[in-house]
Amino acid sequence: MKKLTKMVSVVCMTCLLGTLAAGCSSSENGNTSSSANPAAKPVTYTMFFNYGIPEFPDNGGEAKAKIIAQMEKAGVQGVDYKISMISGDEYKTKLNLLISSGEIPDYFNVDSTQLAMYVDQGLLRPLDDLLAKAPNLMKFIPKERFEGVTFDGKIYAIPQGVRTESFNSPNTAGLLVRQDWLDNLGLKQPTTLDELHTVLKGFTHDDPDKNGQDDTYGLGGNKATVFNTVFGAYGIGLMSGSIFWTEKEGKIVKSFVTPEAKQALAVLQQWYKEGLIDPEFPVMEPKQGDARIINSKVGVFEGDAFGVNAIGGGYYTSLLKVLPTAKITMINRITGPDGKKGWPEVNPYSGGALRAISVDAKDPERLIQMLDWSVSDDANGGVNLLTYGEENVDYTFDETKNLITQKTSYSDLYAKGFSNPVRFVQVTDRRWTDNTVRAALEIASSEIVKNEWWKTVPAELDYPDLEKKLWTEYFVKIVTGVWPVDRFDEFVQNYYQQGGQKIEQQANEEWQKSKN
Amino acid sequence: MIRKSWGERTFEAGNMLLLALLSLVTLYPLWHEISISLSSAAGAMRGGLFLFPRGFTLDAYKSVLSSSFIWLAYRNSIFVAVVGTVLHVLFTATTAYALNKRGLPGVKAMTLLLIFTMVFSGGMIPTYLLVKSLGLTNTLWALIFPGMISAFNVIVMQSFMRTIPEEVEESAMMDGANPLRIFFTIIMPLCKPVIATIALWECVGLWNNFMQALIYLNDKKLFTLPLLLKEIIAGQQLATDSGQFTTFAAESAIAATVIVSIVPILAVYPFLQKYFMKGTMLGSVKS
Repeated sequence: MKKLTKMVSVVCMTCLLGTLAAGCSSSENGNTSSSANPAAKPVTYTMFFNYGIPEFPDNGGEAKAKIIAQMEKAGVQGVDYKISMISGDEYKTKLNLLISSGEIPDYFNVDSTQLAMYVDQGLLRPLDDLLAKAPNLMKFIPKERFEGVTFDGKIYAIPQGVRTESFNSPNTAGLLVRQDWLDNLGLKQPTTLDELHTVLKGFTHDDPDKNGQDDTYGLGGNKATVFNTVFGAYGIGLMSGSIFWTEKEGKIVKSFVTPEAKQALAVLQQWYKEGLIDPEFPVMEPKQGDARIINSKVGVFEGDAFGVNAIGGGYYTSLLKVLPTAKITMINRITGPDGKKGWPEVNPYSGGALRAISVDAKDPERLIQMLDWSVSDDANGGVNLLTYGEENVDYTFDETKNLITQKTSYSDLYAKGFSNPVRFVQVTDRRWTDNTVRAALEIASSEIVKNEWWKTVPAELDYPDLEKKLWTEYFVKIVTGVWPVDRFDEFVQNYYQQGGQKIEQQANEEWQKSKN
Repeated sequence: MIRKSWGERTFEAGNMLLLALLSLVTLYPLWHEISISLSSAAGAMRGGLFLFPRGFTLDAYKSVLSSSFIWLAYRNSIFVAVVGTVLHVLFTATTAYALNKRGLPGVKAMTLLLIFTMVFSGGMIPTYLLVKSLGLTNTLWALIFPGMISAFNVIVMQSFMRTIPEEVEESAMMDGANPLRIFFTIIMPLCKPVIATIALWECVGLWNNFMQALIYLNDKKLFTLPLLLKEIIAGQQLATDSGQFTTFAAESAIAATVIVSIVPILAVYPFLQKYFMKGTMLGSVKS
């Protein structure tokens, strides 16, 4: 009985000690971080990023000393960093908590809604004067991308950059084909819609995988697929994120009300009727769509240029494990009956992951100096070290081919403290791609159909169902032949009646203004 | 034995079939995860119905278990679950015991205050600020202290304690036991079923606690399993999105982590199961 009472008191004591110890350790942390760097007036920047990288060590790992040393060589003195990360929606929750409790990090990720909110609350530092002193950031970040982060004429966040090589274009999508199937059937890569039709027929009916069974489809897809190839062949970009605006007789209209869209739908319906399109595409998740590719059920599909990378770890890698003779290539844009071709562009204004600087950040000049150094290509610049680790240890760089070969896996790089977490400003850098991928990227960045108007007009927010519900229903039902192609006219009518009129009017007003 | 009619027997057969189906349906997702975690990249990505692992490999487990963080997270989770459960049960029991004494001054007000917390909570930000000003953020105690007494569990415990006849206590008092001794040597042992029940609830709750861990913990060395699990899943998705090369599919790594993190709590269940039934039922019927 005495034992029990004793135990209770021990438990209570442990609790008390625990709290005490906890209190001590947190204050200790504060001390060490500010006294870590011997240089004059060292600053530790706290950073908070939206990433899920469990391997990255809390203290920055062995990489930190190297990074700081190189920074000092380049003239950025006395800078230290402490990075914490959480991924997804939880990032927002935690960021809001930190802000409301006054623990706002110095440098952190924001999305566009948060950005607008924080700017409103005066939590972010305007960056124009700082960016003027950051030549490398200005060099790598495309001008358009600053538009989305400008409020009342001032820039409040740093968008992602793009390196200058052409293979870094954000447009990476195209049409992928099973080259080994083409070879099996003695067909050549299709260049026109008619040739593509022939190929699809061959892939569907002529047993391209030589397994003696009629178990393949020509064209694969999933519920996110809009068959951009076919719409592109009729000269319109259908969508990338949102439905595109196409110029028609001096004004802009949504692509999906144009007669070209109807023609494209007719082609798709025809193909679907002939059994060339995977009939389950409208109900498949992207992952299930990938499973069809891996199981050699489809021969032509939309994908991005990295899809041709055999060791990329994506569906191609898996496909090769199932069938070592498989070969996926990206083919040139398909030409339509009027000689048109193309692929919808990726939003040039979207800056990817945005990062902002707190209004309370100490010595922001030094922070921006550090960020500028982090993307710099100069002799002591940070980009290679931060992105790929140490030269000849973690990667080799072939200057003539402009090719970076990585030796250390990403998870080991993270564990050392390199790569994504310390890429303080993200700059698209595809110097690691080999010639196959670069060739595919070359195709994917050519023949791009522009969207005439990227901004959302107020009426679009009032009628959000037009693109997501109305169009999707007509698209799926017409392609799968449930409804005849002529009901497309009814769609156009419905669209205009249910708010499209207003959207078009507002968009045109702004579009005209921007042209003058 | 009473012979069952034909109708009864068909009903029972139907019942069995239905229940068997139901348990299959609940079991399959777990089996699916186990199969995926043991499959090779190609196998895992092929999708569809998984009855057995495709291309058996332990790579995913090797990778998951070789991360130093998983062991840290295990340690943290076990610490939180064990210490948290012990403290929770102890304080819930003492509270319930005291509030059952009608003669205690202010007992009504205390009970009201307790029940008040059942209906109203501080909300996330005020609670966070409180925990922060107590100096508990970025410690594992932040997961233990704020929820140490739950009003609901106190009420469950109270109603169970009421079933213990007062004469038991009185006779102990006669023999010269002080209240502490009565509580620990008479009441607590008699409350075993309800203690086991509450311990199980609390243990599972603490083990799965994601939100509090997310909010209060910053240092990676303090991450608990649910938090780490979430990071690993996000990390795998990042790896797939940026086309990084791995020998096992992201699916397999995620599945392996899921399995690794649920095994301990799964192992606790059978031992507490027998008390569980008793504990939830007892006190529900009063004579």
